[in-house]
Amino acid sequence: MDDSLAALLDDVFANYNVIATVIVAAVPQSEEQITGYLEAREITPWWLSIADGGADSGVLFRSSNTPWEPAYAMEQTQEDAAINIMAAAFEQRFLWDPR
Amino acid sequence: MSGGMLPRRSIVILSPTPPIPRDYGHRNRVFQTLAYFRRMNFAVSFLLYPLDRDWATAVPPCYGDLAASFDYFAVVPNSRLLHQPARSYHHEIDEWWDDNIGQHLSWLFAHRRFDAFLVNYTYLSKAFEFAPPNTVKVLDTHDLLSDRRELFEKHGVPAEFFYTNRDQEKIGFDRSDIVIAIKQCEKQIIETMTDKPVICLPYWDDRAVDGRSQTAETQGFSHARPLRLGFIGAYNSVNIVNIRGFLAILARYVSLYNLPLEVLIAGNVCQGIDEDYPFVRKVGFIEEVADFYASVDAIVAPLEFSTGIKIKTGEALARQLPVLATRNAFDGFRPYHWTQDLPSVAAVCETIVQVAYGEVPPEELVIATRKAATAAARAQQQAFSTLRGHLVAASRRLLVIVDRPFWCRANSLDELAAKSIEFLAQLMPPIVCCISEQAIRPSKRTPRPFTSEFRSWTIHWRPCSMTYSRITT
Repeated sequence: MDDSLAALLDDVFANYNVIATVIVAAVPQSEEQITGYLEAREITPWWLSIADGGADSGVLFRSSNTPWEPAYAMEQTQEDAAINIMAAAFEQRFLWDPR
Repeated sequence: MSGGMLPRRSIVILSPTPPIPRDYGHRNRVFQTLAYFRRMNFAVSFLLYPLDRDWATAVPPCYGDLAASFDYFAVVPNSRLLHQPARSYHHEIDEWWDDNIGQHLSWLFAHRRFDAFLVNYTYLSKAFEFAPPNTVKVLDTHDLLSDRRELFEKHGVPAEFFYTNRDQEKIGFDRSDIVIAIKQCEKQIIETMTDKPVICLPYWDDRAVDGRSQTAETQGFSHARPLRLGFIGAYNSVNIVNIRGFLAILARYVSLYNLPLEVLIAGNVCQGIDEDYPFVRKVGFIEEVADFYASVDAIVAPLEFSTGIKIKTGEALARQLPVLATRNAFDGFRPYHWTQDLPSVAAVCETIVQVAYGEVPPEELVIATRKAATAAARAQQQAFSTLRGHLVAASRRLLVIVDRPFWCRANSLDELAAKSIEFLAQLMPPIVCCISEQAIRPSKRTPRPFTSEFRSWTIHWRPCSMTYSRITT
């Protein structure tokens, strides 16, 4: 995984201005693995965690400042609500330049 | 440079002239920027709105090569008269705009995603209004278009091509994200007219060949082996007025000094030279410029006035061919010898006399040519590096890493991931990488059509133990 992911990230960061990295993970282990890899490269991601057990178990949207204490957390079945929270979080964090 | 896992970045180029055949200076310039994006591994599409004479009445033979050279290639038919003089004193910036271009761009941008959009010439800058917000808009000016009328009139020449004023040209600059000037002095002028980043990308010829200099090998010239000077140019007022004036003055020097000299003039400029001189040979339009450059000892560029950069100067330097030039003709290149920085046409003639009689050490010309060529090549590389930095900075993206092949829509988690990514795409184009411990083989489960679910997104995957995928808008 390391070599392939490293090559991929090299490509992405060489060719694009990546203003945020978001991990959308359904499996905690893979989230941790990817996070560790990114942080080793000094890339601080955000996490959009999709818990096991289906949509009813909710969505967590966590700030990298409080990785294990969700800054934006919800237990809802409505995906729209999750999306609204994501939007608010992004606006707060990045002051979007909607170019 | 992009490797194998990411899909190639893409660019569409709009130009009033094709990049091939490379028989005119402005085509060489289009080729130069096109070649750069190809070297950067961009997938290149090309939209031609032909303004050149050879496209006016027929489809030239190069059409087939053009169509085969690009990911997408189209010719936008002209729906209006071309090369029209200004309706008032100056052209309005969109006075040559053709709505056919806009219609084609609307269709193209609705059906294809492009990371960048390069427009050649500021009078086509309205095209930027049709590009999506996240497509980086690059304007290659080729030439400053303001103050051209005034320059021409100062030299008693009727204004031709496109001439506007600074207010109008500023409108064009401001439509872009990055402006490319063809020489340093134009960069400085453009920077006073717009807040957009301006890059100076001088012309340089990629067809540089091993140096050779007959001048260096020849200790003076004789009537049996005269000094052969070359001039190549298109049919336009700048070339015609300058070369006619030069030949009239040079004729007196030839007579006075009994000069062993032959001047070869190539290109359609010959059609604008009525006078005949015994020391002049008009060869007219040539298919292969390499043969022309190989047949002369040096290039003469006796321009008292002109606009933009002299592509012919770059072509000669690339071939290690000495250039005897006025300051105006060498502008945009760095001179290393006084023969490259002559103050007047009379000074050019004096220099020709000195070269013909071996009074200028050939080694000096060779070294100066080599240094100027090296400086020009370096300037191009520096400009490309700067351009690359600007392109990357303007290509703002979200990187989304997912751990499941959500596009298979196997369960509600996939739906949730897909909707989240779709939402993120509303904010900014995402690069979506799918990392999975298992191979993702579409044959195991046929995914629902992606394009219908994600509009123009595309997805790529490799069936291997680790799979990386990317979706972009």
